[in-house]
Amino acid sequence: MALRIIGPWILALVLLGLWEAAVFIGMINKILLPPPSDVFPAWIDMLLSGELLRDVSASVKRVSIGFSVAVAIGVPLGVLLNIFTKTITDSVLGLVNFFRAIAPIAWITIAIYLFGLGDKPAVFIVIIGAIFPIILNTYEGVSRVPVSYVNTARSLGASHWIIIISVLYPAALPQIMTGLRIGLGLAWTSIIAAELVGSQSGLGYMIPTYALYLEYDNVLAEMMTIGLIGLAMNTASYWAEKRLIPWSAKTMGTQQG
Amino acid sequence: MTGKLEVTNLSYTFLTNSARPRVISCVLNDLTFEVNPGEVLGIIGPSGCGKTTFLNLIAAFIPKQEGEILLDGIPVQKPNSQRVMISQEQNLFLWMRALDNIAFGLKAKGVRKKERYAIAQDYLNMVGLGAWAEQYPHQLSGGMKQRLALARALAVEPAVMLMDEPFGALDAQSRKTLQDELLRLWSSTKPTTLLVTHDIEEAIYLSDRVMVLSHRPAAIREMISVPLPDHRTYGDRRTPEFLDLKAHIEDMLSPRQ
Repeated sequence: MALRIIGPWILALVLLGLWEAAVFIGMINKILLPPPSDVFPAWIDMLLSGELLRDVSASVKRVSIGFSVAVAIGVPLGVLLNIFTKTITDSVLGLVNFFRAIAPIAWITIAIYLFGLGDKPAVFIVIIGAIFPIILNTYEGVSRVPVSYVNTARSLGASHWIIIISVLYPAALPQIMTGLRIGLGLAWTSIIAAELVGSQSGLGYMIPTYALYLEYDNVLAEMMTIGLIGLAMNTASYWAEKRLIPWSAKTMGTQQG
Repeated sequence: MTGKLEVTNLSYTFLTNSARPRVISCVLNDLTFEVNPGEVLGIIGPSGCGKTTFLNLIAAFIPKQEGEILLDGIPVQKPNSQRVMISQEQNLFLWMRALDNIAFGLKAKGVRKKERYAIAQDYLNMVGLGAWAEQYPHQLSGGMKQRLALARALAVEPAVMLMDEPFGALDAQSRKTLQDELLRLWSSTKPTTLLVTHDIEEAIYLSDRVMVLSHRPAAIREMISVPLPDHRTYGDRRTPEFLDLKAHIEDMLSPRQ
């Protein structure tokens, strides 16, 4: 048990050690790829000066807005796709799979043309990045709800509306949550890409900026921060999933008889 | 008293799902019978003879093809809380606590929140699950789940209860306990009941009449009045009338016949 918790940290330390050693023996150029012993002080400096917080809050704000919009559109749409006629559903799904194949960052010129510079184009890229797995997982989750649940609800007198809200949606919630987790992960990678090209702030924007001044220790510190925040988001998603799905035997673990 | 069920010339055929449907197999062949208000009709027949299809037709889960189904003189059209199905799989809503499972049908009926939880608690008490109101279905044993499904169905006060192998998944002991429990519940409120079962003893013990069906396409082979008192006790299972009837039905269902 204890090993399960410290295991990942040991692995991380080993990799950092190898990196440090590789620089020390001259395998890697110290200027272009500074060792951890340079990156960590730079990271602390950025943290204390407030630079890092500024960049993080700019990126997190955009992701929060974009992801919320993606959820607000994607979940209801995914549920409704099970209710529309087959022709409509197939058409929409075809469109979803078409747009899903286009990497979110490819939209950046259109996004800047539509929204100008600032937060808006980046938020737009986040929505594009997050929405498709949310729509598809919600659709799949609802379509897999056994018809016997719906029949039971009908024979207990439930209206279509009650069936959607109280049966289809909660029954599909485990897979909807999976869609949200994947969507959030993609939202985070998309925002960095969007900021690299089309913003004046944020973690993604600062990477080429630091690189321009050859401050590669700062570049790596930003990259580490991106990874850590992504990791935290993923952990938070799993935690939220457990809280939101208390009926799952997996999360409660008290099966009887 | 309501709950008179009249079935006239009911036939059903499985068709291919295509523009020009072709017959796959005939399931029900010209069933005609009546069930009186408050009567329990046991339905027994060879495996795969179409008993479940039959109940699905009465519940209106699948559309009727030929024949007529009248409940209190009115043709049965859509599923509603007049005809509630209870099956082996229970179809309890896993995302609702025991109390909410029962309150669901009452909510659909438009019963106010305070009242519906009071009623739901009454029904939970009635099936001996009073202390389990806050538990999710996965925290209950098989027998408890079946009691919960029973309470949920009774709570909407259906005119007809459709029971499809309700105790099929239980061990012999829980099965017998629940059979007696059912008799006890019926002594206070007794909807008209169609009880499909493989268990001949169960059919005799619980029913006023037993309908024996033939192999597919199912037709009525015999309609038998059970020669037991209205108020049954466990000892009735050992009376000569009971054992004779059991032997008679066993002979009818044996493959040599």
